[in-house]
Amino acid sequence: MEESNQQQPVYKSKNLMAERTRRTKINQRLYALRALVPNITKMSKATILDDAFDYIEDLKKQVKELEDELVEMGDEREEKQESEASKWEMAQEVQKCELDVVVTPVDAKTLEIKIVCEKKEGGFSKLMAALGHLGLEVTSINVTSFRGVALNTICVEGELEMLKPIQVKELLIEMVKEHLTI
Amino acid sequence: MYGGCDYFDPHDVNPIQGRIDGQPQTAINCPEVAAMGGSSSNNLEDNLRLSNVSLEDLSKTNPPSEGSMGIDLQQQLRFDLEQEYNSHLLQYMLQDSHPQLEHRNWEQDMQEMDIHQQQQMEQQQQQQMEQQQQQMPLPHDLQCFNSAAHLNPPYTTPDLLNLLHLPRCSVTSMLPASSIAFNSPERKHNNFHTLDMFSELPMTDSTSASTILYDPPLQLSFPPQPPIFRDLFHSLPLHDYSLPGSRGGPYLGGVDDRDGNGGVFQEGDGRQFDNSLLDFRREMPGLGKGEARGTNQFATERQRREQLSEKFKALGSLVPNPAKTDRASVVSDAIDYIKELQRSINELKILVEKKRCTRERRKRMKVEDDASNEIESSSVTADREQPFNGSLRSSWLLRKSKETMVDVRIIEDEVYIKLTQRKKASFLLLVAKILDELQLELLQVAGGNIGDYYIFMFNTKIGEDSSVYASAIANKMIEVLDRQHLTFPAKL
Repeated sequence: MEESNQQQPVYKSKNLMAERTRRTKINQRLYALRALVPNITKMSKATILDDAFDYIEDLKKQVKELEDELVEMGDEREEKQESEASKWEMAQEVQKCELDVVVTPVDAKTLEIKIVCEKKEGGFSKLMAALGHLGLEVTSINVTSFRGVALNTICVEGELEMLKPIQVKELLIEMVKEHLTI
Repeated sequence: MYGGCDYFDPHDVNPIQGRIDGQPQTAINCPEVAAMGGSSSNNLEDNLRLSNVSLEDLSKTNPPSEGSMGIDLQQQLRFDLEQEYNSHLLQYMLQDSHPQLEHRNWEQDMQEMDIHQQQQMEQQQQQQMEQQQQQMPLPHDLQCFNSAAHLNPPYTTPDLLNLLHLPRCSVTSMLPASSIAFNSPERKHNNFHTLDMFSELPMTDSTSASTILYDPPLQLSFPPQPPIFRDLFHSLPLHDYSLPGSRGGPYLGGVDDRDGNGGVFQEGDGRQFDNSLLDFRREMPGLGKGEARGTNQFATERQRREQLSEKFKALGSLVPNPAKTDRASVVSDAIDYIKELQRSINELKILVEKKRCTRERRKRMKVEDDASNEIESSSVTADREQPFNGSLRSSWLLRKSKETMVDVRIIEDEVYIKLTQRKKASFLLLVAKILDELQLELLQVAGGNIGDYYIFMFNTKIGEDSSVYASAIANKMIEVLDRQHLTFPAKL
């Protein structure tokens, strides 16, 4: 090995180093794994792997049990939803605001839409649905909500020959209002 | 014989070293010998006794582990003292007043003795020896050495048989044995002799080999070799290697013989036996055992590797949607997964506890509601804001599929979701619906498409009574988005 190393120093040593780094990488990770697993029986690689396997299985089992427990306990969820709905309403009462929609054309294919509206449960998904209806694809979005008011800044792309910005605005207002009032 | 070795060991810890250091020692010893040669026999005997005592002292001062050997040595020495040949030896010594001369004569004596024995054995080597005999004149005191050699007649013949075929073994065995055979109580003399022997070793002709041959009987009666001597044994075969040229034939036969009589040798010193065996193998690599062991090892090694790679695979199979299959990735994935599972368990435990608390509280509230007491209900709401058991709920996990990557991080009731997915229609709508379904209140959304991918970040708040957890969110996301990806639903 060493002799051939001397014969082809560059090639061999490169391989050698690559292999060495690979091995050290694996070994270091194995040690890290060993550090994680609490009940290590022996130091050999095989046992580290075995123990890690068992430990993961054990953890999975625990997760499953806890999830089941949560599901069992989650029976009274419907009761809560009522109270939650009332909370949403309360939040609405706290902050009332006008619906404001501004549509600005950026270029032939792009529109910038700014919507300020009351925040409502499911409001965002309804807005997205409305944009989908209009055949507009979101390229960039920024939504910020504060005290029941949501500020949506959206860049959309789409075939705008048939769709004037004003039309988009009116359609959006209609849809959002409709959704909001429902 | 090892007692004998032991005896002169302390002076030169490694006999080879002794050989190297030999010059000064001989320089010291020789004059004394010469002086003794010059003195009367009475004086010499006194000297002998003195040196014997000093010898015993010496052996007592040996390291404790060698103490028993020291005792052996003493017995040996006493025994030797009583031997008649010792006196002959002394006479012989007296005759040679000059150490150099004496030195050479010893060599000759050795050879002659061998020759004598071999003649008895009627071996082929005899001829060689006879040639040497012709070269070197026979000293008159040959007989006395023969008598020494025949001191233990029962052993002599069989062992000689062995040794004739096994020059290698005999090299090692020779040293101690000869030191005893010539164990004239006089320490200097003994020392001198051993030095002599060593100086002889480099000689690679049959002479040295035959010199070596003659000792065997004594070998059996000795304790196992002291550790120091292993060095010697290791170093000696080097000399042996040069021997085969002159006597290559006996080697093969010698192995067989050894196997036959092996008990004797192994009993005496198994190590020596092994050594020579190994040497033999080394000389002829094609021979049996090496290969057999090699294949055997290969089988187990291969098995071991296969087992190991099986384990890697098994570990990899546990991890959800693994990215790569090489060992390093499998291990690091496993590490990540273990961490993730630990976080999940932590989170779930907190959730379960939280739920249990709210349930109990609700029951209590119901009771209190019946009593319609407003003050207590307010205290309950204050209660609700307390963190549970002081432990902060925090977990995060990363799920990847071919087209989707979901990173979910939860701190207390806030969920941060980062979604990366290959660009496709109505992606945001789907995500929004999932969020609704999971009762996550949207606080902030940011993102857009970069190249072919959508990257969105959602900052959401977990509804107060909802019990979603990180893995549930991530799994749901992956599930819905991948399904949608597969079916390619038409735009609404």
